[in-house]
Amino acid sequence: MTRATPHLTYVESLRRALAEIMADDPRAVVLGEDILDPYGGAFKVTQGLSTRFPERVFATPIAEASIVGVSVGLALRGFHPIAEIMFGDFIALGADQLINHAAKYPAMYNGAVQVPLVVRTPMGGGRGYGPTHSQSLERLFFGIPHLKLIAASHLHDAGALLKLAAADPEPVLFVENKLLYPLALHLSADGAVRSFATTLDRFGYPVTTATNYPAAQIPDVTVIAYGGMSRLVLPLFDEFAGEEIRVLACFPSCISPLDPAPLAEAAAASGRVIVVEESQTAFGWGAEVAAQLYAALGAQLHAPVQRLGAAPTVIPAAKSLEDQVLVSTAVIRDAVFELLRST
Amino acid sequence: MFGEWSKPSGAWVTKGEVVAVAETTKSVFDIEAPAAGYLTLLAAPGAEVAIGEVIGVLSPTVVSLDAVHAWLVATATPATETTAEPARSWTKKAELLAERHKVDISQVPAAGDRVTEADVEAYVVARTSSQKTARGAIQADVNDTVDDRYPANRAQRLLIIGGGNGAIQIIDALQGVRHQRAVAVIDDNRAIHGKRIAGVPVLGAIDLSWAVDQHAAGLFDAAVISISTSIPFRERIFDEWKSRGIPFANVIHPSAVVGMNVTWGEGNVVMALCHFGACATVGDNNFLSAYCSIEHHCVLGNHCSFGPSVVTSSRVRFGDRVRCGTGIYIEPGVTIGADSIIASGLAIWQNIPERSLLKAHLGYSIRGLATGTVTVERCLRKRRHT
Repeated sequence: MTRATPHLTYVESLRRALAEIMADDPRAVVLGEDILDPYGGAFKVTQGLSTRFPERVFATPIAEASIVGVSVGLALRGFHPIAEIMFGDFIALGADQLINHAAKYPAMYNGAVQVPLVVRTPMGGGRGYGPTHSQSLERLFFGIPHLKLIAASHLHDAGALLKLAAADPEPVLFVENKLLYPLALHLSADGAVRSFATTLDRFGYPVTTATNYPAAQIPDVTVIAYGGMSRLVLPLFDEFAGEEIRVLACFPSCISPLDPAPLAEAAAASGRVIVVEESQTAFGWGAEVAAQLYAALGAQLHAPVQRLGAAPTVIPAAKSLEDQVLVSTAVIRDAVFELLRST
Repeated sequence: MFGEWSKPSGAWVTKGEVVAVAETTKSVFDIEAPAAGYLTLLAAPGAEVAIGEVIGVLSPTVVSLDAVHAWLVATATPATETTAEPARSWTKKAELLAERHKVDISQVPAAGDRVTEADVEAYVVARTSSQKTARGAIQADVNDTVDDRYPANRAQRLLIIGGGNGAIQIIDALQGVRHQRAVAVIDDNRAIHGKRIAGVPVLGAIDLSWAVDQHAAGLFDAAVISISTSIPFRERIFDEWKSRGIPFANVIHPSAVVGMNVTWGEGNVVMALCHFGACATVGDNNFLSAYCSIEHHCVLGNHCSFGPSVVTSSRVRFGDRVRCGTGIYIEPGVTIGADSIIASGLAIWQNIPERSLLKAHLGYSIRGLATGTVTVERCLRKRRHT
């Protein structure tokens, strides 16, 4: 993967990647609600795109099922559609097209067709958008065969990841995070990040591991998370370094299906694992990670895998209440303390 | 984003009157006056304002802008910091380690400015060594470059009860496995206290309350009884220690063959080259010497002690506390009653009632050979003459 300029923001990285995909691939088309200039999309990821490629960028009605459905049709007929769902909460309306059509066709037709489709959408709360604009509904799509869920943290080169997704012959739900958009990507060992490494999982997607201690030392705790959780984990690096707490953070980008090998390696390094997800923990991603780690490591784990996530309720609009429902840096900090206190 | 004011600065507004319009990403909404008063405008139209930021002031009289600013400064609440922790002279890691080891961190001396992880570890080691001179304690796993990476709790740490030949056999078996290791031996024989058995320290007499403390301190994970010669001793120790919450481990020599679906109790000792057929059931606290074969679907009770080469056919059932000598063959489906003793060299084809003593009647004689070179011919010749 090409390394992005260090100070490129998450949104700028995605914006540039979209333009490069369009320039390189004449079959690429982009469609979504309000994505045309001058508005350029609710989160400005598509800003400038319709000016540069007016014949291949389409504004759609507010109808997510048809956005995904039309994209599936385009993909079947040889286009490379990249659809934007303005808020990830509304991906539920496109679920049937993704689950029962996009993901199934290649297997149902014995490989005679492909659905090289990317559906981009921002997930996550923290902006006071309330119950229907703050969720992390990628959780509904975990474990759907032949549907890839790719989540970009700001420890990933988000744009390069989008290019990988666009080149994937299988349909991809590409999960962005609202609060990451303005953040500068963090792609090297600098500041509180003392070591930074990227490996590829068995699906060819990058897994980032970052530590707050020099490479030769042994971590106290391994934090496994994805997407927007990098925003919460990274602030602990600096704080913990001064307190002799060595944390290894592992961020896979292909979150479903899941290659357990790089996660198990990260987990074995400390034997103490905290999995953080923005959505609720019950029946969630952390449960799958924990099961995979138990199978791979067994008694190498010193303590039960801890899962952190949102409270099992709707996400309030009032910021003060929202903060109580969503997982936070403070919650992760306390979980690390508790784990080190007991084991 | 703050939109615009609907009222000019200095205007009198009543409670509930719309004074301004603001917008968020998704909507535009009215701001109503929370009370009546003269309005002083602070936020500029179109400005980005933070949640909690003051956009305007309502006052009971007309006041100057300077007075409003002075009032804001005077009444400003300092930004609430994250609940400040009391000042501490140790790192958080040191504090957590101290809690883990049940150490009062204020008692730990610091090598540098603050008490560090290394200071706590050194303190724990020193404390453990002083306990050892008092009574003998199991060495904690600290300050070890290997154990820091692979701490002892990844391998089950065993306390061996009894320091005789059984202990040596158990330690020998453990040298071939990676999931268990012996950390200490205890034995009532004072002559071996303070010595080591194949590297494992003999810490003192068999003392349950001491062991309970050591186990509570996390210094060993499970116990195993190495004494095979006294079944009453095995049973008593096992029951007493279990009743105080000490877990027992199965120690199985790595050369043993265990078939599928074998059910294990705990506290069993299985020596080299033993075999357990499929679906066999093993109770608690049995001691099986080398080459025993417990065939498929056999059931072994508790507290049994077998010499080498006790070989069963299928579906044999043993009661509790059965003692077997060496080289015993048992036919299929036979039941051996509890508390029975079976002498070496027997083949058993019938059910044995409880509390039976089986003695061998296969006699043999021993004769001394003539001195000098012994050859086969000479022996045969000698036999012909007798």
